[in-house]
Amino acid sequence: MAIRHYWPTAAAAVGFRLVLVLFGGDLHLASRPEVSTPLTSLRRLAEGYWLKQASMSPYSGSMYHGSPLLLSVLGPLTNSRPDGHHAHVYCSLIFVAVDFLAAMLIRATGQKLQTARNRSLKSLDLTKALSNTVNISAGDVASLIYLWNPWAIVTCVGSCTSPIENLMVVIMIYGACSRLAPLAAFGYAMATHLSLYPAILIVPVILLLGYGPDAPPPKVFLLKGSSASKSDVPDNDKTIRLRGVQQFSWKPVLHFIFWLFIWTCYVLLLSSVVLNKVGGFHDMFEKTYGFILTVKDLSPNIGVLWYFFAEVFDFFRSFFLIVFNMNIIFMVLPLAIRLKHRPCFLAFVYTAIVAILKSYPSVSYSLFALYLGLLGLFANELAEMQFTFFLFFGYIGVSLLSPVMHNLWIWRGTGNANFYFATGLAYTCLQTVLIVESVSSMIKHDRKLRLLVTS
Amino acid sequence: MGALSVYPVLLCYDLGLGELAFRFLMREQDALHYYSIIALFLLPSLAKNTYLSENALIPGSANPLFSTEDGIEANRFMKGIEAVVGDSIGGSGIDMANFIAQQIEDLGAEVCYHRFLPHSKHFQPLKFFTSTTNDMVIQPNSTDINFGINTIGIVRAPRGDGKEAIVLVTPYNSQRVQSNELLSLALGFSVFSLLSRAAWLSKDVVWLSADSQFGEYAAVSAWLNQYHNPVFLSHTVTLDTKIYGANHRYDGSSEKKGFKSFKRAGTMAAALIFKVGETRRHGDRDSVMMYAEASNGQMPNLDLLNVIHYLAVHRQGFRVNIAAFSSLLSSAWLRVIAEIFHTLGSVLRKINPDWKLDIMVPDYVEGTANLANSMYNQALGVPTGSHGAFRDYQVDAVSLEFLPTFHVKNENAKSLFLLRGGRLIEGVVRSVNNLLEKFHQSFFLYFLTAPSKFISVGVYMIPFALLLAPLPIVAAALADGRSMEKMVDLVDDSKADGSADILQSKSGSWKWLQAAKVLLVIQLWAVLVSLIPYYITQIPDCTPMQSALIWIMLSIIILIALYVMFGSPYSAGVEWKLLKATMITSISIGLGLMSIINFATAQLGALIVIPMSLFSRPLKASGMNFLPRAVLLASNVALAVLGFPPAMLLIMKGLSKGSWIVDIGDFWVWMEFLWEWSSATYLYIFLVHLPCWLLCINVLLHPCHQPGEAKMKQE
Repeated sequence: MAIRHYWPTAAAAVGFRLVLVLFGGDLHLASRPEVSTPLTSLRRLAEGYWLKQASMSPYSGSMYHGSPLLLSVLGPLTNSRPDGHHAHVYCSLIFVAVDFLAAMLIRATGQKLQTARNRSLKSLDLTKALSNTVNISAGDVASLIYLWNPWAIVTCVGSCTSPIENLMVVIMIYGACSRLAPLAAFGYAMATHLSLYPAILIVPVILLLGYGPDAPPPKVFLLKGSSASKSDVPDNDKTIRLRGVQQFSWKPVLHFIFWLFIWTCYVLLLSSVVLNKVGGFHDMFEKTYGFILTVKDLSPNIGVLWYFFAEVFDFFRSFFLIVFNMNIIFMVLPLAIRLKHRPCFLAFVYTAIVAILKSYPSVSYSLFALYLGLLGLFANELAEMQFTFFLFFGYIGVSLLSPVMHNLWIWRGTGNANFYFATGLAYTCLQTVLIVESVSSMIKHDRKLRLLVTS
Repeated sequence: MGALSVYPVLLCYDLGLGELAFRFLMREQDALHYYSIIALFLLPSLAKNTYLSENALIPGSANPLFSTEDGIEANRFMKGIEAVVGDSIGGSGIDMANFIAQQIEDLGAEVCYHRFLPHSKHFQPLKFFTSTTNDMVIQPNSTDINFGINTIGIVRAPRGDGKEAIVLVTPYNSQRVQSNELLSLALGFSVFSLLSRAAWLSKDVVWLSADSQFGEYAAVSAWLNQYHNPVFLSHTVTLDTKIYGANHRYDGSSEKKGFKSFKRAGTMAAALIFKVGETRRHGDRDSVMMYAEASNGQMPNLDLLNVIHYLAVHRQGFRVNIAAFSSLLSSAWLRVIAEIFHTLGSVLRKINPDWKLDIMVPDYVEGTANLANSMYNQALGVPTGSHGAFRDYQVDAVSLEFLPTFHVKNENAKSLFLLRGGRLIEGVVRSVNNLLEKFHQSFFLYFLTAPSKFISVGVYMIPFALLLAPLPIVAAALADGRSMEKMVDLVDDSKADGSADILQSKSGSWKWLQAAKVLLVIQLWAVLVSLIPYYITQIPDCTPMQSALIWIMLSIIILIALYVMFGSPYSAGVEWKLLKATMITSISIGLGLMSIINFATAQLGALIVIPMSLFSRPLKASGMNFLPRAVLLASNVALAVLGFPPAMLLIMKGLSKGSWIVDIGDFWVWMEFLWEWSSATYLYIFLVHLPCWLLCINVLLHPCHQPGEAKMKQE
């Protein structure tokens, strides 16, 4: 079931962004802690570009922490300021295009997943059994969620570089879903270069390339095969069904690794060209990856780490840095084992976990903007998710409360840091509930398929 | 600790207490409303005496230095300025400013002028939230004739580093000079002259004699704006020197150029606005009125009020008052309530001597009248004086209005008054001067029931929390679409055959999406309606009546257009229970937000919105006996009428003034008042209250023949 009026709605979203960029005036969104972080702020990028133009290292001082490639792409645009518009209008126009591209790629990914889903359901003879449940075009839903997500719009208008990071993650997932190893490798290399955390997405990407897109668990196919063998079904038919169980194919994975090597070298080469004479790799890695991992900037954001590291005793700092960074890694393996038959969903879960635990979260990086879009890809599987009402209004409530608390603390002076931190905590709780509920309802969905096959 | 406290909750849950609480709240949702009203009326008896939190203030520890000589100085100043006013016929403003400046200069203090234009009316409902108040300073240019002049004197502290300042403000109307305003100028000058000689000052003292011909607030806020937003553009510097052309008439010499440019002291630690009001005939003692409410219910730190109250009452023998609803003071029903509470309180006192709830009847009545006024002013979100301008820059400020009982011609009484008033202000300055940090020890969130009695946030939250408590639970129960008993049954069933439950596709968990869509459409409408006045104000020569009519017409047209575009609430087949659930959730979010921005608005709004939303039930819905249904219908309709903002305004006006003439223009004037002061109450009315009201109407008119409903009946 396709979404009615898909194209008008998508065009309206793009038009809405354009209107906000061109006629919205200066909304001061770039200074909001929810929107821009030290890593993604375009103001910092402009500063870095200025330093580079003055033949200094863009990483001198503590302003810029982004990639050198962004400097040479977006830097020149931050210099020119047209009359009557806010400072970064050209960059914002680029971000509008980037967002649209990302939405289209999400849609294409959704269509790929849909075909894979229909194929595997057909091979399990379950199309009729599931026909009474909802069957909507997941790609359309996901891309519309991405386009109309208020936070994605705010990010796009609010001058920060995270739409580009989001696009790279989406390119990677799209490339892996359609088994285009070079594209997936490009997305992966770029996303990791820009913000480090997508590095853990290597697990779902390899699974996607090896096994193909999401499918019911292999056990279901085996059950189907065994039940079919009991009855008298021609051997020919049985082999077709068993083909539903995907074998791990090494060829695209090796392709991917080869291309990953090439792209990584290329990115590093380009960076060294950009940083030629003004800085070295050491500087770059220390000020980008080092800055991400050691949580040096403790200015408030919607996450929980700033508060924690502001409170923690100095001699415990290294210990807790290790704990918090390992936290992400700890989740990788168990989830990969449990969800290996659904690598795309696994990628969503990883993104959501990163969104909770990363050091400088904002609504823009994977948080609201990206992972809610990805969530839409599984609209059919998650149709029976619980607490959706609570989650939806919880997100709305927290995202309205957070700026008000910030205002109360910073500007009115009648609140304090705990007020703002409380909303960050509530927000993290909501994300946790979302992850737990979506994983459990996905597992429930798989169990339902198994029961349908056996009954 | 936070993690530990989870365990008792989990334990309670295991023991079924969670379910008990759930059942209790479901059953008691209407009763909670009454409890909260009772709790609201209990507030005056729960008020605590104020106390000084900040030890550094030590008010009254030093003997005041303000002596009769300073009083004589004030008299001399007053004679001088009276002469200036008498001499000049037309614009006495410039002459008065020049005289004040000359006097300040003679003291050896720095002086400068500040010229400003009257505040023009703007549609700025969001100004409160756009954290930075960096409006460009609008400088009057030479063509403007109609401008005000503030005169600013600055004493540099002999022991300070010039980083902090205390501000004294005396407003006077330069166009219509009155003797009491001259007296307040004289008082200000005498205190300032004393401070210019004080050796103990560690903060700079700024004396602003504000020209209040366009209102006190306009003068003070214009000065504060320029104080906090220095202009760095090179061409305006040259402009600046030309602008203060006013004093060319004063001396004409170019050597005093430096003295004209705008001068600043450090960040403001506190500000005190004082003026002498009209002579009051009745009353035995001179009294002081204290005004503290700033924009959107913000209050200065309670310690500032404590210092003033302590010094005024215990040192200088003034009577301190705060504004009250005078109609409540003489109301009989309040007296009856007070009697009841007194009786109950004395019974409770006998049970446990620690429960001191037996407040005396007159105290209770006065406390309620003060509390009602305090709440009303905070809820309105409009500052009660020029101290509001300071609070916008996070400066604690309070306005004092001296109400003398003597005649201005009575020299003896006047010099005594000057002595006491001067000592009070000197004492306050001395206390604030002791501060090492910003005011932070005491409360910012409180209501006053008497000048020395307050209700802190922890206490006044209780009635609101009681009101809000059932909302999330009711919303959850409605969104689930099943009653509690059925849910328990279902759990038992699913235990019996778990696999069947999984197979049975519910697909009900996203059903609320349609209701959420309705909510979003209505919210969009509300946002548009709240923005329309911006465009209406652009129409020249529009009477309030016409504006209001245009506003209402446009709102209706937009609503119809949105329904055509996105489908009306009923066409999609939304169940009324889901609609009600989304409405209640949106209300709890809205009220929660508003309670943080401006608690009083949320509290007063909740009293109307919450019963309206909780009682709402489709008029066509069946399944109840005749009598309860009729009562429910009547209350529904009554609340829906009461909840409509213009209707409420009319009723309020009728109750307060006794005139029941319908004038739509009044509504426009009222709203204009709110958005000009960038009161968050305007946003509350249009973004929380109005959508809720419309959703409520939608629920009331719901057709009630849904397929889902039918299915449920079959079950």
